[in-house]
Amino acid sequence: MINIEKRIYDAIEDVPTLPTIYSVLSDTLVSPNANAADIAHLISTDQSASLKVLKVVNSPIYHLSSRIESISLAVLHLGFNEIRNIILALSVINLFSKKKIISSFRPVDFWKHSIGVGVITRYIGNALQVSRPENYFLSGILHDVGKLVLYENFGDQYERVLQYSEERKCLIIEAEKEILGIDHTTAGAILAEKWKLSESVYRVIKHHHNCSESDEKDILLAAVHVSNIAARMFEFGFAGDDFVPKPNPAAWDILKLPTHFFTKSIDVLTASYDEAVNSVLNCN
Amino acid sequence: MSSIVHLEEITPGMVLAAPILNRYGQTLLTTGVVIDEKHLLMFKTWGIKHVTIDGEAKKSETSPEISEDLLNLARNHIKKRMLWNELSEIENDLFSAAVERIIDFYATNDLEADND
Repeated sequence: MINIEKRIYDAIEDVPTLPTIYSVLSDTLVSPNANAADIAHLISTDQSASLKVLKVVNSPIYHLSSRIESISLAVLHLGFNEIRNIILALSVINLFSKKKIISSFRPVDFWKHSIGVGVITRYIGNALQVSRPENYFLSGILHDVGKLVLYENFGDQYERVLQYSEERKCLIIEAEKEILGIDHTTAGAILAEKWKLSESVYRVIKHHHNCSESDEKDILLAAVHVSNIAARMFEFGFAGDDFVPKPNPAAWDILKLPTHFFTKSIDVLTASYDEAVNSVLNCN
Repeated sequence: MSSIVHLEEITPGMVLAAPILNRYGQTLLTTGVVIDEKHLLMFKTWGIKHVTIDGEAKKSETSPEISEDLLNLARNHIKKRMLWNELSEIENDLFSAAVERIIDFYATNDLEADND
């Protein structure tokens, strides 16, 4: 590991570990005796987490025809892993929201962008009827987590990164490499490793920008790649720069979305995005 | 193919492409049911907000006409931010969806100022 990566790796030691509910939940889930009622009870003990989870699962992107009123039903309809992943996403947002803010970073807009990508990615996973949709929302939400790692570790210098990107009219990833010598995909991958996130989420964090390592089967990565671009085009939040990069054509080939996919979905996507932002961030 | 339709846009004659379940997971209406006025009332009572129907959902007939000027303002606003020019078919579709979204999102004044 080169010097700067080692510095980041060591610094992450200082980041508080994930909230208790997530670790307890993870342990419970791998236990052979876990059942839906136990899981539901555990989640329900955290009132605010339960409410947010229910709001998220009742969003149209989850394609459920009737309203879900309890955590037990949410687990029944969407499975343990999806619910656990929603909680992880909410926990990470909550964790980083308590940190100090530098003026130009705009954490609320950052999370809006991440939520936007989460919503679109999950919607695509749904539309393509992928067999394992439970990582789609989470991967979208966490794809840019590396920016938070950099901002945590480089503080004022990240302010310089944002200025550079605006002055030179370049993507934030270019400015990060130029000013810090490391970009958010690498920093995020280090965090994913430290937190032992799944292999698929790790790959998304590391490769979502170019989507160059994807193969035929990597639908999740292709979905996050295009969702990131779509969220920028739709101006769902703010990704750190004001541009829409060119999508990798390989991603479109992997997804094979039907014609008029986006024009037919834009109303549902915008409504879901607005709802998710309201429930998760408690703001407009 | 099927699409998700919001309660307000469901019209009698639409056909369910997925079953509707109650809060206990029991089937209330099966796939293939042709929706009628009675069902619409039931949806409201059950608190159902979205259903999946066969075919494409028609956009509301009452949406206002958008002027060519406004469309062009939105198109230019987005094009200025894009780092490429030659769009594939799906990218054109994405672009059209974005134009709709941008028009909804911004007031006309903001789009005009952007073009100075």
